[in-house]
Amino acid sequence: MNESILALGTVGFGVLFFFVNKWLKGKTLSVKTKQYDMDNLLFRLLSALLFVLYIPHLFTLDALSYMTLNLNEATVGHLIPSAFSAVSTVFLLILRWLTAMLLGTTVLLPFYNKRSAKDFVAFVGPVLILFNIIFFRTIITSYIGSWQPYHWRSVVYACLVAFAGALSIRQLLEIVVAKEWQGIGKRLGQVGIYILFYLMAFMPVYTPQLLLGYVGQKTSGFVLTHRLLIYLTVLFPFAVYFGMRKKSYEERRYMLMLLALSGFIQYFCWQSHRTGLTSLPLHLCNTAIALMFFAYAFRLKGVFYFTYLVNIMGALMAVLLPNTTGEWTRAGNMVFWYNHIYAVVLPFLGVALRVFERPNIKLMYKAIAAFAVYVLVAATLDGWLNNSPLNTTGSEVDYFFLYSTFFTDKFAWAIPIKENFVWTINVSADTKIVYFWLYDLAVFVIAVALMFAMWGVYGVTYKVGDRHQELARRKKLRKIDQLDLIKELNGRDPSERLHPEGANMIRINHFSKTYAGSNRKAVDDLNLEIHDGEVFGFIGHNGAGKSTTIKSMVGIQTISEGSIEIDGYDIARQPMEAKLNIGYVSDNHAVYEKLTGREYVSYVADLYMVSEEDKAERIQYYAHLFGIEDALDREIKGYSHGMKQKIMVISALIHNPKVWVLDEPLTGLDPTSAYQIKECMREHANKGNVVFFSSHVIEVVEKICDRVAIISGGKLCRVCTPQEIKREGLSLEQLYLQYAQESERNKSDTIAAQPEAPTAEAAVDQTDDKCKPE
Amino acid sequence: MKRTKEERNSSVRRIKYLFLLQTGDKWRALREGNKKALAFRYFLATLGVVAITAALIFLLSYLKNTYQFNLSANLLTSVVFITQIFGIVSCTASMMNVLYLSRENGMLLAFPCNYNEIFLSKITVFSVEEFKKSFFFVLPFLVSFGIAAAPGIAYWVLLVPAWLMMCLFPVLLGATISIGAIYVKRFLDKHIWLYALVVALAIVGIFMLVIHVLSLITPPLKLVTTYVQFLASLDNAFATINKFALFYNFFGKMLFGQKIWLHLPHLLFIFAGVSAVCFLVAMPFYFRAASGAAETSRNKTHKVKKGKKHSLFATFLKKEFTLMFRTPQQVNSALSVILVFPMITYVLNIIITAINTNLYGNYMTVAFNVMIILSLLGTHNANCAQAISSEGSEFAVLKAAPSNMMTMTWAKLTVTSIVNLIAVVVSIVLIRIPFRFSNGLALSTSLSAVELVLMTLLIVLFSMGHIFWSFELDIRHPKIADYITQGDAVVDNPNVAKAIVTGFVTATLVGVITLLLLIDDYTTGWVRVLIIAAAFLAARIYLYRSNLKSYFNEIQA
Repeated sequence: MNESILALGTVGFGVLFFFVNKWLKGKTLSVKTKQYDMDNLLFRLLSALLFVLYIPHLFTLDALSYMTLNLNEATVGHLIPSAFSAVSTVFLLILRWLTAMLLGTTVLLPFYNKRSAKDFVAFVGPVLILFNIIFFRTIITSYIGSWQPYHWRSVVYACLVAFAGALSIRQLLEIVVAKEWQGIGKRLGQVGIYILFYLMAFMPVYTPQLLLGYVGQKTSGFVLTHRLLIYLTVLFPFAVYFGMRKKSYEERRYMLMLLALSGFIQYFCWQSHRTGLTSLPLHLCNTAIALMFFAYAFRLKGVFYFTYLVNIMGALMAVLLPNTTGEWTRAGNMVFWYNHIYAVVLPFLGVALRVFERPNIKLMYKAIAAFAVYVLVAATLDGWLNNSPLNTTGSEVDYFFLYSTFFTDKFAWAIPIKENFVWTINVSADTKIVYFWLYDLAVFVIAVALMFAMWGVYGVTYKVGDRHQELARRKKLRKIDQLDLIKELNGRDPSERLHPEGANMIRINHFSKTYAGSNRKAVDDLNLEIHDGEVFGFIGHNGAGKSTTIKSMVGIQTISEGSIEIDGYDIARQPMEAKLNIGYVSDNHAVYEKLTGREYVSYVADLYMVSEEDKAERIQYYAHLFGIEDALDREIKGYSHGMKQKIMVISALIHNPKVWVLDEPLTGLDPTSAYQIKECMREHANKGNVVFFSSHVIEVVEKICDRVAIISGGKLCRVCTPQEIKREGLSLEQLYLQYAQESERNKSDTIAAQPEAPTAEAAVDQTDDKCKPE
Repeated sequence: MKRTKEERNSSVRRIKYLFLLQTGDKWRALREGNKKALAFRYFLATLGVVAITAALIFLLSYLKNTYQFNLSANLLTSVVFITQIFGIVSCTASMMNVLYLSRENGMLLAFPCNYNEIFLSKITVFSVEEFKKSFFFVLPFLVSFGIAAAPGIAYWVLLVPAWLMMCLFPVLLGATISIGAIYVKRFLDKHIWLYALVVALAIVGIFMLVIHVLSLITPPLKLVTTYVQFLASLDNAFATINKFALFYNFFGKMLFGQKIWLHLPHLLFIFAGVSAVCFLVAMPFYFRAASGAAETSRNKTHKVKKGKKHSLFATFLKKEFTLMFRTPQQVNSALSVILVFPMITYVLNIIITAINTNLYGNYMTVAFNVMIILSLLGTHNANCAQAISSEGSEFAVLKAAPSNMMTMTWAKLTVTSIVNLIAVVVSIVLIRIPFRFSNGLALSTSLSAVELVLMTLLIVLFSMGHIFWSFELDIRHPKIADYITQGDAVVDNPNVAKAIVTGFVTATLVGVITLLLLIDDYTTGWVRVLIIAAAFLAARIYLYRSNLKSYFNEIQA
């Protein structure tokens, strides 16, 4: 094998591939009903071929993996002890490391549209391939222990270099011909980030052993190195999650696929070190590596959820109670940790990053069924291979630890269960299958219980995740609202009126309110303007939307659509400023009954930042006006209904608000108290303020209001003055009754029509008709 | 005038209707609910009862076989007596609420029925509830005791009447005692400081009693070193307790087949007597006491010092403290935290001094104390999970006011934090000072002053974090509507339950982590656990603030 032939072949193949690719562009291949782009098909075929060529290297001898630069620790036979100097060994290690990364990236290139991966292959790929060609002999020696130009490994590796080189050159030529040089500096930077991000994923497992020798603690027993690996297992997926969650679906999928591919490489590259029947990848966590790779590559949902629901649990247990031997730098230990960290991280991220949906309980049952089959197979293989002449090495076959004393050493109570319940099937004279059936069953049941525990943990994790996503969403919305407000204020201070023209007014613009969990609008597209000096009455039947409007107006409830302005301030976006101008009397005597009247009013006055002098003066004035001076220092608990209402009125007026809102203030009051409050309302309006109140006492509304609004079924029916109604020859009561009756009729029509026309559109149409009096 | 049979029948019918009216929703749910779901619920409940019984059988058999515990009539009597004391106290407290303070009294008393019928219906409702509760401890205990101790056939024959009587005694006694108690309560409600004093004295009295009982057992409680002596003194302690057990001694003796012919009639006679006292004394007082709740509206006067303006935070804080000091339940709760929690910690520390002999004794003492104090504080912190909701309709005032929501909630948090801080300090001081009670029983802690200060800091950091966490639960899922309709009678707020669970889980985890880190390296262990605590608090504050900003506007009164 000549390096120059290899170089020429690689370049020639690359150029040829580029032109063939160009020629195939636009051509399609029809297979049944599906159409495939020919150029992409070829690209995919070549990358698949590249992967196929790479597989033999994983499973066969790798002399470098037996080496260590620490010659004092020469406990393992060095196949090539004097072949390379320390510098050339390190160089070789880095070259192999980056080449593995290049191969992984190139294999995935035709399947994902990832810019930095393409640039990595185009710009870094040719350089790496060039080095691979120059040091071809050294590389082959490092694999098989000596330079043999016609060894099948040399031929296959040459093909591998040629294919990878061709694909890299094709990628580079694409860029050159298309002149895609925009932002090349930034793109190269991104290539750097790409290399750094995936560097650890492709680290040859023998790197620490090669560089440091056999040093450090054994990674078990919760010693420092073990704990660091546990932290890594827990923190790594979260770090990746937070780093990747905002990336596109394509990017997330690519990242997971590349990690799955690197996990596959990391696990099987150690295969040549394993011997006999024990080397089959049938331990639960070993299976995860193959399963994850196929699940991500071919989107096999069933396989993925098996790893998600079964493998994670096993891998976590292995991380906590590892069966590693020797110093942490040993390549065998690194394989163990790569395997188990991947078995935890990849399924977790698959769901967390929404590449796969969250599983439902049915998938859990399917996973349990598959797991049952796995346990049965593992128990059978353990029971058979350990009692069969097939096992020539004599080492114990112990898939899922069902045969050895691994578990029973840790849990002594299980020993009698294992030893006393044995079922033996004699297959032939020298072969039998031994089942520790009760023990196997117990292990299965405990594992299933752990699966359900994991299911519970997943449930909590989903909830917490959703909650934080929602929180982040709301935070973003708040920020957008604030920015909008600043924009609308056009440089003015946020404490200034949003709309100065709305000073001393209430302006309700297209206000709608829908309660959570309901489709119906409690108030629908309400528009009102109430001016200073007005006493404004708001009437409607029960459930018409009066209290909803009022509560949104004073800031107790949120606004679903539209806006409400108080004295030019938007109640939703400038709540503090708007509320300072509102006095509110609720419909339910919401007062702290353990406080005295004076304490309560003082408390409210402090909330509204009323000066001490004004507070004292106003309490005195209103207490005298309402005749409750004597009761002021008594606990509110002993007050009558009317007295409580008066205390609420005083506390609503204590800060002399520009807008006074009262929700059914006259309900249950004696005539004197009602009169006092009515007088107070008129007086407050006469001072140039707005008084807005809802009531069912129509006569009072008719008598004291300057204008009246009638609301029915959430829609504003009419706004008029009492004089206008009179001119129509009606009383307010008659007009109100007309609307109320119409509303009742609409309601019964809706109920009657429900079986035939339960559609949302119909319901909306009916609501629209609610305000048409006869 | 003699009542006719028809009148009596209609009286029974009215009691039945009153009963159904009061059990209303629960009864309907049982009859009209989804049959499958109902069957599943029953199945789960039965499974629960069986599991409790099995666990108790295991525990008692284990104590008997492994630790040579004597499952005697004395032990049975002591357990019955102690559970009955708790039952009577809880029934009296509940009876006061149910019979005299319940909001539904206004409706029931207006119905065209005899007040005695209302009384009987309420007693029936309460008895049914007690029976239901007994399935989760009294019955499993009696059954498991019978299986583990195997006292003979008489035990099983008399088990059912004994169980029924054990359920009814606290109800009847509670109903009778509640008559006097309600008047005392009303008096104390009007004199809040006297109330606080009585509660404090009661707590200290109970504490002294517990210490006295513990002193009957070998001091100090080094179970391993003085085990035989310990067992003997345990028997001695049961015998001493039973000296005060009055007629409850008959239960133990009767069930163990001792002089059944004497003890069974005695018990039946006492039961008849208690029933007679209840119906003849309590029933006639019922109407007066129940209607009194509505009549006696308090008209207390409080003078306010004029000319004082407060900052917004001070305004909220003042309001919180004023309401707290005028609400007996809140005073009670604060006193419980400040006095009971440290006392429980003290008593548990007496017991755990034995573990000081262990290699990691000091670390375990620290971890155990952290766990206990945090668990106890967690139950108090859980009140924050209803801080906003319990405002009820008054929340409208807060929502409509132009005040910073953060200031308002900080005031609420401050009140809980102050009470907590006092409780932690009292607990630590109590652990530090070796009080000496009767029989030489004292706590001699091996923890240094520095360790106690670090422990205080650790507890305060985690407890504060849990306060914020509990508050967050209320912000996210407020239950204001429940408090508007039911007032302070809301007992099943899921946020509170969740806060208690999170408190307990946090306490357990913190205890375990503290122990592991201290064992790993004592000096850096303290630093690491304090860093974790500070990070926990910081994270909880951040989440509390974010949630408050995001969800407060949506909380609707």
